[in-house]
Amino acid sequence: MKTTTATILVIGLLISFFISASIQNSTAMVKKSYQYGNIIMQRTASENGGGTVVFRHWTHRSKYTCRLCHVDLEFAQVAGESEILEEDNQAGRYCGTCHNGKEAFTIKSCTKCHAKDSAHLAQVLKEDKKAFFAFQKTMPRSRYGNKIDWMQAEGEGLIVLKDKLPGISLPQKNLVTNLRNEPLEPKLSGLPGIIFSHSKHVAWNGCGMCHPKPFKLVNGTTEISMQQIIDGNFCGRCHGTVAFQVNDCSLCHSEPVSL
Amino acid sequence: MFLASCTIYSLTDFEEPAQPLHEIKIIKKKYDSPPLTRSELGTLIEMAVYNGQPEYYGDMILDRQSKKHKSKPVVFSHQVHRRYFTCNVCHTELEFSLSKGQTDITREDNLDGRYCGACHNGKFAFSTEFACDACHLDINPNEHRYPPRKARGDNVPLPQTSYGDHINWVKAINEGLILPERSLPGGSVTSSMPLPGYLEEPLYWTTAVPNIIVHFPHSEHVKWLDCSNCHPDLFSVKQAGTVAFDKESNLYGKFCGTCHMTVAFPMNGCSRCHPRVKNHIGKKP
Repeated sequence: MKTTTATILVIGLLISFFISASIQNSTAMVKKSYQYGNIIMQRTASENGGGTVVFRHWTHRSKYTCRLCHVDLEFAQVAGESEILEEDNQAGRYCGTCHNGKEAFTIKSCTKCHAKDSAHLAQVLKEDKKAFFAFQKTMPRSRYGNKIDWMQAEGEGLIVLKDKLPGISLPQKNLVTNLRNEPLEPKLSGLPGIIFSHSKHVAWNGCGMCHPKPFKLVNGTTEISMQQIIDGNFCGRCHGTVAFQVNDCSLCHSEPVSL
Repeated sequence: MFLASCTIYSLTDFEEPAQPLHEIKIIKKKYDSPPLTRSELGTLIEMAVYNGQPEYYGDMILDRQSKKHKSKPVVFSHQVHRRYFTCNVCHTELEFSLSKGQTDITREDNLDGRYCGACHNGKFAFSTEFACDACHLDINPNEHRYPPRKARGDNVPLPQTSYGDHINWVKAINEGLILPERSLPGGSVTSSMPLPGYLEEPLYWTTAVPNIIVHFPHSEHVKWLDCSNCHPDLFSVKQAGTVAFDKESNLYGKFCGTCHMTVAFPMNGCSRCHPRVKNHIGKKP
């Protein structure tokens, strides 16, 4: 009797050890509203965290359109692909385009972006959190991401976004302005239909951020699945990182179902 | 053998669907690992499920921040809160994480109207500013040794079960005995998307054990939760797309176990999800 009990316990303990080891990294990774859209750049940071940059999308998107940085200033849409160097900034490229003491604070004040060490980084993050919540209180709310309804904020005039920088952005003749709503059929029947609003996207992104890659020019010809979007492709490139999260289903699945 | 002989089994709580089970569409799921034997499962269940007094089931003793600031640990009772609010209110609107220790609630947050402070502000519920002792208790954080938490109006008797907190919350909400709020006053819309028609019927899928199936009703879950509480972070949105979805991971708090081992009914209420399987009540006290 004793040996059987012991065997069962040993088996149980072995199983539990094996399982607990394999489930460590499975907790849901939901970002907090004050962290959503923050990009922590530390490829060139030193071991104690010195040099780390916390780039906050929320401070920038409350003043500028996406297009301005991601097209005119050539910032990649994928973290780690822009390769921003000190000399770029000094020469007025990337961050240095605006952070020159005229449009925004100058890059000479290094520690406004670069943390001195890990203690300074912790302090910066703490202050950022405070600043974010103070800002969030002045904005219309949404349910996910930053929990800020950015579109409504612009609609109400609470934020005014700059789309062009003199001397940097080329004057553009708006020969084509597509403001159509594109209906898309969901793959599963019974789900509310999708309405893609060009007008809401064009205002901040222009055409080039989405076309011809990853989206083909003709509506419905790009094969997209929800899983791909969740994995960060297509719509998920922005919706899940900076723009509203795809968790808020009905912001896209907005056509009422007719039964 | 010794442990198994001590277990007693109760009747099942499963409510049979209108159609007989053999006529129902059952999704065939593939499992990488072989099923647990009966005795392994019994041992695992007894090791993993809650065995304490029902009044304390779902109580969280939070002492990470309080230890840092040399203050008393906080006792948070899910039972008290879930009578009045759906899970969604705190876990979506108020940004409480589903994993313990991930929220980082500070006094500053509370006083600024976030987390607990969103309601506990002296207007909606007692204030975090003055009523410290209502939550911070002088206790050993590893033991449930304090008077069970109660709120006003908690006296309405609710339908009983024989596991976890001994309350059948699903029955309670269906019979209108509790009316939990779906959103805070001035809060956002109630749900991110109405439940699509084809998901109103329960889903059934196979387990690693032949003849044992899983019964999963979306409709009962959306009474408390929003789509996004589970999708896509805990479960992929593809049908049968969540891999490694086996009994052990569930028992150890993954997938369904995220809630159904901690707050929602624990997994010794076998019959709630596995039709015609008896509940596993465990050792006789």
